Amino acid sequence: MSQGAVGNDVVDLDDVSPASERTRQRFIERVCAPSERELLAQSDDPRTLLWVLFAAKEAAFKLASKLGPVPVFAHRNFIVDRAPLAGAPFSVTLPSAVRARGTVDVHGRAIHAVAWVGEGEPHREVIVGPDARAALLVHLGLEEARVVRAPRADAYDGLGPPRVEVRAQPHPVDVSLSQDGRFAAFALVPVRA
Amino acid sequence: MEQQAEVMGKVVEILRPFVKNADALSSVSMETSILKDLKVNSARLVDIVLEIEDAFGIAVSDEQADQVKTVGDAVTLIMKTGKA
Repeated sequence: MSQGAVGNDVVDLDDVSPASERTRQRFIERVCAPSERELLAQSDDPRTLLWVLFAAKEAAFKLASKLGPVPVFAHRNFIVDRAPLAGAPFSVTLPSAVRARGTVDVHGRAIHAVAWVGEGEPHREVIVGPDARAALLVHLGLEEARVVRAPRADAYDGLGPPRVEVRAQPHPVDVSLSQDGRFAAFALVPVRA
Repeated sequence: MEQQAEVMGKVVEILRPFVKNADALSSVSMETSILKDLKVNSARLVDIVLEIEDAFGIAVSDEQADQVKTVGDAVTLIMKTGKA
């Protein structure tokens, strides 16, 4: 039985820390693997590509946290195999050596990266606004649906990934939520009940 | 070795430009969560680690950075790793 799982991340390009620009080279060395630094060196737009890579890694981390124990979040250990330009698929290798599929969409000043395992391709949306949870529930259009997070000891905030319940029963989708600056985003894949 | 209060004061000043809501720092404590309470995103957390390295002359490994969840974690790391 194939179970899908998904992670997503949105980056507001107008909300990037200016310090990241000032300490840019050290930031790159901290976040990017050598192969990714090569992609940046070859890129016509390395500033945008850096944030595309960052979003892809964040999405991959959220995915990896669903596939096993929460890994050490060292960005450079989540390796993107090619410059993930808008609409073009890429792969990201997780620290566990699992290879996840990925995609990046650029919506104006929003970068939205999604990483997943399983069949098909995730549904994904970016909204202008702070509430990814509400946007997800609107999309699902289910009565008495809610998004919950169970306690999880190894998570940074003590809570596990979001799950959808309908009338207190698990709904057969895996979801991921993200918020940054002006934007919120979600992605979901169906899972077999 | 710098005293804990002095290190914490310096850490708060490092955090200040990265925290959008300045009021959140007014009640900061060792238990304050950098991501959750101060709403610092993960990109800014990388910047904060770099600033800590510069301010205290230390190198922070990926594993050490991953353990920094609270202001107290940052202070403890600096005091264990740092120089007088």
